[in-house]
Formats: sequence, C-alpha cells, structure tokens
Amino acid sequence: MRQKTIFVTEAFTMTKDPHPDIRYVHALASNDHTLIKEIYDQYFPRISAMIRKNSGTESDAYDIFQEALMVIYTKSQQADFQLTSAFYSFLYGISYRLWLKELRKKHRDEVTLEDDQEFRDEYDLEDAIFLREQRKLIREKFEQLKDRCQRILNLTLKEQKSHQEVAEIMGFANANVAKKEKSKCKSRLVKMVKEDIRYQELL
Amino acid sequence: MATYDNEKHDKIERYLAGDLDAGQRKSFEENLHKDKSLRRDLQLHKAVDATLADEKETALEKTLQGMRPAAKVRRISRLRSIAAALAFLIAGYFMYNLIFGGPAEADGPIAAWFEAGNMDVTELSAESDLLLSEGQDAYNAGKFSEALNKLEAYLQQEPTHESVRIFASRAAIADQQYEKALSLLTWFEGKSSLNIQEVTWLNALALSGLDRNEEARPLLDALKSTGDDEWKYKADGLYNAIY
Repeated sequence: MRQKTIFVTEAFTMTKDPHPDIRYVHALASNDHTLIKEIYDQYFPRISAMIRKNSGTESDAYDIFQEALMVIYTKSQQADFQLTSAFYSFLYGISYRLWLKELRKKHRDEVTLEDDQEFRDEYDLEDAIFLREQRKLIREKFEQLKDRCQRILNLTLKEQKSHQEVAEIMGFANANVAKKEKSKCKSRLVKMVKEDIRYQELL
Repeated sequence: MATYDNEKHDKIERYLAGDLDAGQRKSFEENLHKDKSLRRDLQLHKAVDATLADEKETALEKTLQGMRPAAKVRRISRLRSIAAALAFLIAGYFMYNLIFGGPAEADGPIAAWFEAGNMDVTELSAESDLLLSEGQDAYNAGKFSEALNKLEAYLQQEPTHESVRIFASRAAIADQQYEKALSLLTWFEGKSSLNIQEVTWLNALALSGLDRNEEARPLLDALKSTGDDEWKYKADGLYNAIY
C-alpha cells in the first residue's frame, strides 16, 4: 500500500542579504498588529486550502496557522536564525508538519513523508516544532508550581532581579539563600517537564 | 519515566552561571560531547530560562488569538447552518420515511460496518460553491443519490479535492452504487494521499458490496497490519462479516 504525500512549496531563494520577508518574522517578534494582519490576509487562505484538502476544517486551519506562526516566532529567537527562503515556504513547511502530526494523533495513521523531496528543509522544522512544544510544556508546568516558586522564578528570570534583590523582596537571609531557593524551584520545574510523557514523546 | 538527579542539576546550573572553574568547565564540556542525555538536559535548562524570560511570546499568542473573530463568526454561522440542517434532516427524515419508506443505505454484510458520517468540508472556489454546498446538504440529509450527483459535478471542476471525493464515494456506497464508488476511488491510484487508509477501507467496502470478497481481502489485511486499533477493529469486523 502506498503511503506517501505530495509536498510542494515555493522555490528557495538563497541570498546573503536578509530575505525581504524577514519583516514578517520581525513583525511576530515585535507584535506588529498591522503586519501580522497582512500575514493572515496573504497566507491564511493558502494554508487553509491545504488543510481542508487533507480532511481538515477551517477551524483546524486557524489552529494550525496560529501555531505555525508561534513556531516561527520561537525558532526566530535562536541567535543563529536566518530566513533563507520566502516566508510562505517556511510557514507552509511548518503548517504541513503540524497538520500531519495532528492527523497522526487523531487517526494514529502511519503517514510518511517519503516523497517530500521538493522542500529543502534548511530550518530543521522538526526542531522548530520541538522548541515550541517544549516551551508550551514549560509554561504549563510553571503554572503548576507553588506560588512561592513561581514568584522566585519570575523575579530572577523574567524581571532579571539579582539574588540580593530577590533575598530582600522575599525576606531571605541573604543572596546565597535566594540562589539556592531559585535553584530548587527550577529543579522542580525541570523535573516536572522531564517526567511528563509528552516531553518523552517529543524527544 | 525520566530520572533527574540533583547533582546533575547543580552542575548544569553552575555551568550556565559560569560558576565552574576552568578544569570543571572543561570536564563538563567533554561530558557534553559524550553524553546525549546531558546535552538534552542542558538544552532544557536553557529553554526554561528563555521561556520564562520571554514576555513577548504570550503577548503574541494573545494577538494571534484576537485575530480570529472572523473564524468565530464563521463558526457561529456554521453552527446555525448545522442547526438548520439538523432541523431539515429531522423533518426530511420523517417526510422521506412517510413517502418512500426511508433513505437508501448500504446493504448486505457491509451494512453493519459502513458509516456515512456527517459531511463538513469547505469550498475551494466561488464558482463551485453552490454545487458543494448543495451536495453537502443532500449528503447530510441522507439523500445520497442526489448528493452523489452534486459532488460528482463538483469534482468535475475540482478533481483534486480529496475530502469531497471521499464523501462522494461514501455517498455512492450508501446508495449501493458500488461500481461508481470504485470508479471515484480509482483517482487515488498511484497518487500520494494522507487519506490512504480511508480510501483503502472504502475500496474494501465497495468490493464487498459487489461480492468481490477475494479482492477486498488483501485490502482488509493491509488495514489490519497498519497497527491502528480502530482500523484493525473495522477490518476484522468486515472480514468476519463476509467470510
């Protein structure tokens, strides 16, 4: 039985200069509503058509489109990220893989990508999706931590307070205690993520 | 279940904080090259720091979520359509039963294993909107013969719409037009498709409907060997029904 899929994307354009579509990536990072709206207007219909042609609904298409943009955002946060193709190629590649994963989840299908030769994956899309899934899991587990731990991690990681400042705010004896408390909380969080079966499945 | 020890945690944290001396750092980095799980743990530690420090991510999520009102409107509109279709279906069912004694359905051994399901696909081009919407309405009202005509006409214009082709094949099976179903499914031969198992299943149903059970058998065997419990259950069921 044949199990293969067609995967067609726009041709890659290799250039040393930043790709002009990098503005869309910047728009995601800067939460530029006008440009993000442009992304929706330009590309959603095409992504939606791909999903609807493959057993999905429009609601599925919105979910996948939104998640694909979040994946791009996450990937773009890596220091060495470069946009080397049209934004749409990148978006399509991620949307396709996300939808494939969703179909596998729904139907437990063994759908393969063996004919996926027309797309040159220069971005390591699987890694990009992994990073996003990992972030979602980290946020989910963070919400399950006790308030005290959430506060310590927020002070140190989000607000970038020094250990001394954290000690003063939290009423600890000194910076060393704050450092140890932060380490304990982070250790708890890491452990919760690692012990979740979804993390094991991501690896 | 993964294990995670405090010593490893402390080492990674000290490495990230730059608290290891030169020798410890060198040793740690050598271990990184050799130990895949250590690399994963280090990556996870970095991801925790990056995620919790990143306020822009949640802001972007909110923005993207906020750009979906159109989808909500469409969904509400679709819910209304479904409610209207349901009302129509119920009224239609009683009228149909009254006049014709019930809609057409697959018969014979496949009857117990065939499910027409509800059709919910959206259009690709404005020109063929009407055909698809009429075909879908007819399908969901159980008027499979009419649905088949509309969906076939739609496929003349949009031959690559796989979901529509699958529903047209289902309509043909429901209307006991098994040859027609096979002819519609022929389009998938040699083509790549994410719906390959559904296509295999419909082929097997249509062949069984024509008593071509020997041809259906390898298809059912293929479905049984996918490792998917649901397909295995259905394939086993139909297999037992026809043998």
